[in-house]
Amino acid sequence: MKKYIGKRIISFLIVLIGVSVLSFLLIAWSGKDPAEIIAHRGVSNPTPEQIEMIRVEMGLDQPLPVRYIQWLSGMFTGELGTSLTTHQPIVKDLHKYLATTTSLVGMAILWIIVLTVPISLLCARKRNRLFDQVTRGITICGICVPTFWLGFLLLLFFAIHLKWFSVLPSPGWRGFLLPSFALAVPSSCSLIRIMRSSLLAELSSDYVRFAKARGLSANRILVCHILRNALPPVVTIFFQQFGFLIAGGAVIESVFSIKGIGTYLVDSVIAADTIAVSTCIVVIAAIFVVANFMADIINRLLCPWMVREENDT
Amino acid sequence: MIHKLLKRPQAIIGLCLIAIVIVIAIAAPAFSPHDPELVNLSQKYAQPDAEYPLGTDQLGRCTLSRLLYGARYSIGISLPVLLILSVIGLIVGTFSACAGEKADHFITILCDVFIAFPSLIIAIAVIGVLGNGLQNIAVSVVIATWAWFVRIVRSYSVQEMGKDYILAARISGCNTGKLVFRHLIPNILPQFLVYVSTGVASSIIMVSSFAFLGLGLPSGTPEWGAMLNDARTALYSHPELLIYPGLCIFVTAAGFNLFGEALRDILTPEEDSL
Amino acid sequence: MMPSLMIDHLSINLRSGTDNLVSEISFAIKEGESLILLGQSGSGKTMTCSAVLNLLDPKKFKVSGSVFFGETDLLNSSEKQRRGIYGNQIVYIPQNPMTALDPSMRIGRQMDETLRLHSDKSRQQRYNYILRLLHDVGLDDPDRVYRAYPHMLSGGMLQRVIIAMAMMLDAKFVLADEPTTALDVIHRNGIIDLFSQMKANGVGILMVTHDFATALQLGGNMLVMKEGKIIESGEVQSVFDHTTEPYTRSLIEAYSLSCAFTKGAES
Repeated sequence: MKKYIGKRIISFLIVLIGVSVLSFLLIAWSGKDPAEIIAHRGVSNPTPEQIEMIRVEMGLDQPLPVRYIQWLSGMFTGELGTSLTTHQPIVKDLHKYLATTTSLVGMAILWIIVLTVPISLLCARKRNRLFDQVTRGITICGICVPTFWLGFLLLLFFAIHLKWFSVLPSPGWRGFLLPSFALAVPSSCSLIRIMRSSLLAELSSDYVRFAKARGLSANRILVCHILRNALPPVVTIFFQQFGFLIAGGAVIESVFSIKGIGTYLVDSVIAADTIAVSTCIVVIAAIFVVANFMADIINRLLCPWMVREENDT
Repeated sequence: MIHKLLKRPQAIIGLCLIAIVIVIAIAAPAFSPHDPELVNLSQKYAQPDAEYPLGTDQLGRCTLSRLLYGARYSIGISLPVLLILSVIGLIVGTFSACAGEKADHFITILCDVFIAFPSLIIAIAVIGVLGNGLQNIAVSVVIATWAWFVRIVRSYSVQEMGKDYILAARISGCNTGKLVFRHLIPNILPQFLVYVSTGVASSIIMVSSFAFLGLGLPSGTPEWGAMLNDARTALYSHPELLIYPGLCIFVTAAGFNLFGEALRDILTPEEDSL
Repeated sequence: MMPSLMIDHLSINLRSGTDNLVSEISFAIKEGESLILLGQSGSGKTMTCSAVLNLLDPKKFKVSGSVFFGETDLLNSSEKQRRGIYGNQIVYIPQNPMTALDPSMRIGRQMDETLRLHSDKSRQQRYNYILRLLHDVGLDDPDRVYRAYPHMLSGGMLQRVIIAMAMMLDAKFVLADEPTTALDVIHRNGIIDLFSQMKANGVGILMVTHDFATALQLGGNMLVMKEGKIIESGEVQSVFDHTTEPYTRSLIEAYSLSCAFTKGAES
């Protein structure tokens, strides 16, 4: 176990470094000159000297590796300069918007757990009965629904037709109720399908047969034995969805006019604020890598017998 | 296998939906009553009638024509993108599985790094770098998702390489190139096709997400996601303008997903044995 | 005294086909007796065992005939009734001990789970009782076994754990499906000894096997099955000595051959 965790931590660090290098290079090679863009913001028609001055001031004349180190250390010291869109320090912006997005994603995760676990257990229990069939139909649809459209449909129905919510974001958790649900639907649908088939695969295993022969009830076998053994693939995919939730958040935030990291990223892309963009994506990717790492550890704890193969997808 | 596919209602519905959308995409000019980009301010928010079967939008453009042309963007971007992704996936994935430990390690880590970025996020960033344009959208989707395809092909290949028939082919003097193209790829192709089919669906949703966020396409383009974005201002007054384009995305994605689903059921029958 | 486990004209069919997997089998076992079902794989012996245990999926298989445990008709009883019998009065010992236990639950907890279901002992009593049982079946360090996960023990040890589970509730009958096949030869003898011990304590044993050696060691009556039918029956030793059936002969020859090999290796 210790050796395994050590190995995982090494590969985790390698990926993390790779992620930061890639985010940095993506922007560095974009062919856009941040100095020029900033200069254009300040004066309507900057001279080459003025642009050059900004370049030196921002350290953009340094070679790439130096700039990479500066950018990376800036993330920890908080000296990344100011955002072109909000005119606030980027690090401060990130803190603020990340908090909003975290609440949104956190609530979506609650939805996902509340929807996925009971529904898939019921599906496995009532296999091929009406409930299972209906769920199957709904989940296929749920995967195909674009989240932003679902968001609008929810707005149309709950905010405009029923007037239960306001169209503009309301403060507190109420404002996140609809957007987090819209965000959770596609993930929940694919997770229900994965969990259902994982449960069914376990259902035909030897230990279930033996448990039945020991006189345990079907419900007890399902909840106490099968559930735990069926969870690893679900946990893996669940943590993978984490990243998609943040990404999907960008779209949902736009639908519900929530100011989160997604809208911040899109605004920064449109404003060609390269430093803000690269910082955003590296933060999001880092969250994803950490989440995946956690999924591995959780699976290890859930199933002590599990020896994860290298080539496991 | 085709015979088995045609027995499944899911597959038939899926194939029909795909066929309909492709026909619409090709023959959009023939079906459309109007030029999708023709602005007619005197006719804005017109009710559906004989001339405008689905009414008009905030600039008086024919909604039906715009929806029909929208199929061109979704299909026209997604299908070529998936073709490129499949080729990259098959070549790099099988190479990774066959080429020895060092190359395999390198490719795996590279994939891990790319997969760490949620596809929509990296695609947004790439669009930001490359600027607007159909080609740039395609490139950004490829950059954002190629690693997933490589990874899946690699894992299929590793699984397949452990089987006895590959060993038999090796022993009988088959070289690696021949092994990959004659034995490996044909055997993983069906599974891979399932993945590609669902991949089309998600890339359609991704492309429309860009357009919805106002990235990648010039404003006024009759793309479904962009139309949704345009219709936001009419949320109260004309909600139907929001419903139509979303429905189109949904139906197109459903076509590919249903087809992939049916294919998966045939390939892994034990999951669904009655 | 009436026979306690009575199988009468038991037939099993696939719902999707007309093939008889098992046809018209009848036998009875009393407490303290043993009966061996001998046959090659595919002869329907495991099917018979599963039918007696009610483990066959009714959507896939059609079971006719009757299985009586005392006065209870097992094929037509309520689920609650059955749960009071299986695991309690009739216990099952599966073929592969390595996969028969939940891989992510400690062995002690799985034993405790069954015990709690069928008895009203206190927690501490159950713990002591389980430790004693583990010791009785020949596991040297019961406390370690109690806290181990199944993957941490060998097949032989796990089969002993499962036998301990069988002995746990003073069951009247044990149904064992090839209990020694997945084990090394060294462990087999010990396991069969445990079965003989149970038999001496008045437990009825139905053992399914394809291995004549196991049959000879346990003794008692024997049924030879081929393609779902019983083709021969009698006391094990007398079948071994006097059979004229070519099918039984071939099973005996397979046994003698393996004996010859072992002897050859020894000398």
